[in-house]
Amino acid sequence: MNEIGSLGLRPFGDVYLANEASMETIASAITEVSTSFGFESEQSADPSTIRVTGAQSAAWHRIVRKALPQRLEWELWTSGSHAFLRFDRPSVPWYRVFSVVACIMSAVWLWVACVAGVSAGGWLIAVAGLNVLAAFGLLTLAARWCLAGGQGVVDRLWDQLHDRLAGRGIQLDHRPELSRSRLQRTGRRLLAFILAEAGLLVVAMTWLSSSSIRRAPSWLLVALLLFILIVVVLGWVLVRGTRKPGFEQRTRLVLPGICGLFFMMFLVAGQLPAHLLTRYPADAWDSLFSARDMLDRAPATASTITTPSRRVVAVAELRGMLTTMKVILAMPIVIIPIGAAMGALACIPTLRLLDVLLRHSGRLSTAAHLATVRSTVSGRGFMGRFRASLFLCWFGASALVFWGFTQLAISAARSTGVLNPTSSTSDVAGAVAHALRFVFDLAPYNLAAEVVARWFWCAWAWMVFTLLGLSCGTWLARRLATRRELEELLASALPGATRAIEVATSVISATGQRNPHIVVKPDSFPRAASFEFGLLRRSQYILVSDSCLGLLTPEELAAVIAHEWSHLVLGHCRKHNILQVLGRLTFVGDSFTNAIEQSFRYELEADRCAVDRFGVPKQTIRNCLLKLRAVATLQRLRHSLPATTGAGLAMSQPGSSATPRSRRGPRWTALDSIRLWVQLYTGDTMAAYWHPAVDERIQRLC
Amino acid sequence: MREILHSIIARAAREVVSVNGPDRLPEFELVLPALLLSMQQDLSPRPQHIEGRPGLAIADVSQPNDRTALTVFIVAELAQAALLANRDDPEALERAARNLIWFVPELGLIECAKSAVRAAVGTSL
Repeated sequence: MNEIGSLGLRPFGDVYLANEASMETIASAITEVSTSFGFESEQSADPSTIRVTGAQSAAWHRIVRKALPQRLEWELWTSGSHAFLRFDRPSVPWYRVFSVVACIMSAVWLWVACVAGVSAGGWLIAVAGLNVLAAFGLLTLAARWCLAGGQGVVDRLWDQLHDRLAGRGIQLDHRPELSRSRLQRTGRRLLAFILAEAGLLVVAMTWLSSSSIRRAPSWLLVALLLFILIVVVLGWVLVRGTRKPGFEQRTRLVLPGICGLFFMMFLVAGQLPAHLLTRYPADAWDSLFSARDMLDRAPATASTITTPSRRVVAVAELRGMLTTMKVILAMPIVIIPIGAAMGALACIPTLRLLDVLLRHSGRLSTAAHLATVRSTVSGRGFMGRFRASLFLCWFGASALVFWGFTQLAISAARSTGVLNPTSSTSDVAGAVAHALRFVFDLAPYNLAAEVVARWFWCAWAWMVFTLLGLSCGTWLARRLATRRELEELLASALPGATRAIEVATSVISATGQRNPHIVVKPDSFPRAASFEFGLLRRSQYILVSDSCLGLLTPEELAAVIAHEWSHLVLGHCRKHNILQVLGRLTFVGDSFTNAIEQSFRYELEADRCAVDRFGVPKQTIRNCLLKLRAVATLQRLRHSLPATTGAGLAMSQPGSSATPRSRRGPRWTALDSIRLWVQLYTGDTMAAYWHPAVDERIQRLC
Repeated sequence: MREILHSIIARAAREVVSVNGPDRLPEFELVLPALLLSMQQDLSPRPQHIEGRPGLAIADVSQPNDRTALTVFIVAELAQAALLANRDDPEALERAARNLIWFVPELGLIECAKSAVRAAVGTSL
């Protein structure tokens, strides 16, 4: 029977496992702590369960002001020699209505403020901007009300409870695999709401905005819209996926790609405002500078000015107009660094979420329902749709970004005088230089502004190309290092290598093709893999761990080598390499390309090829797969357990070094984010890789 | 000692599999020798370089999920605890089971394995 079902869980609540089955002690600690935090506690018990409820005693205005939780529910029960604790904090009806209304109000306010700002002019833009800020403030408040964390009240309460229980020798271990958190559901809904609103706002602002935005380079607008579409679609997939098993595994595939897309978005978003400046006609710049000169030359006491076209203009009106123009022209200059910073920062929470999920699914890798998870993720329906949508979005966006790079390169070359030495406002750097001169009250032909703008634009272009070089260079360095390691292993000729080579020769001689190099690596994990290097002179390698040699019969070893050789014969390794290079060129990284790669199909094709072309019996492949899976699982479990012997486990106590984790996760730093991103980008983690489930492979084959 | 341990593991694990999933018995008999052999190996360091970029590996080593192996693992841990501390500490098996659940959230399987190991150890010693 399903473990979760047998526990009789309620729909919502965080479930904790206690190391001691002492329900009364835990219940009394809960009552003491919740009373000290201002909750009116009540305890009820039946033979198998103890329930403690805490009702918030604060007045309604204090609940709203501090977003306090209104009700705490605790339930304690035993199963075997273990005690379980379920904790939930449901909202009262009036508070639920209030938080939903606040969300809707903030959405409406934000819309009105943005649309009014776009259609307004002059100082009204500033007023609309303030309105937008206020609406964002309300949105933040609404999010706080929805989560009802009470400024850390619940966290502090839990800290005290943990300390009190630890004093009595009891430890609580959170069990995410048994929990259904109400808070997570609220968070997911909130995320969906914000994503939908942000997407709609950007689309509306693009269409309703001024004519200068409409005249922006069409490829940039299309790229921006495409990126928004991708983020919304991926967000939707993420939110929808949380309801199903396999969420963690799916997220592994999606989130690294989102990080890469954020990075590409920042590259495009940084260019957009500067490109918009080139749309100002040259006579418009002349008019701005001459108006500024007229104002400077006018006597301090003058209330009106006569223009060269003999129009009389009020000084105050002209000054107001020029200030507004300064604000408008300063925006692109400010947006470039802000866009860059936002793009980089957006990756950090994404990576943080990813880290939490990876740690969580590390725990799940040994859980009972992993089989369900695996079958969901590797199911043909899901993966087919997932790959197709990602593939389309990725290549569409990449093509547009490459077009942008080309434009950028031409602009940089012009700036350095390679293509066109004349200064003009029609090129990006020239337009930015004019904007700088106007905003900072410099002369119309100030050289410093020209130098700053052109050097900035050159640095921008060089940064992009340096990153591109780093991205591809690290891939190449890794490939060379892998090849060197394979060569060293080949030269060292480990024990058992001769046997593997004999088996491989007998398998491959049947095809009459050139032999690949057979490499044996010392490793307790049973594994085999194929590698291909070089474009014209190809070098092919098949790697087998020495544990495979000991565990498998000669027939099963031949099946393994036939499968790997099939990958090489069918060109899977070549396609894998090409896709990885494309991923590096477009900054999405290896984990993303692995996600869209047809590795599911590759494995089935290689199994089939081993049977049809090399004459391996199906039963041998089946036995081999079952053995490898079993041993890999066992080794994985042994690796994940700190005390690997029964004696060590028997001696260890909860809270000692053998305890899987502390109640608080390790502190997450920006450096950890970067490290994880690099690991995912370079595919240097197993999280970025997957195979179809063994059961499915056997089913397809037999 | 090793022969006794392997015999206890085989008997107890067979008992657990026949109770929880009798249809998996043929698979269990196929993989058991490999699992027992694998348990004798020392654990080498975690994969470093080539394994990080696994090319096109045959086995699903990134997310192994074999219930038979999980059963054998639980039984082996409990059996070792029971054998090594049997005379000095009669509560060792109970304690090992309680601690094992911190790593493997399989209450039913651990309870079942515990009684199978107790029975197998009782008849072996």
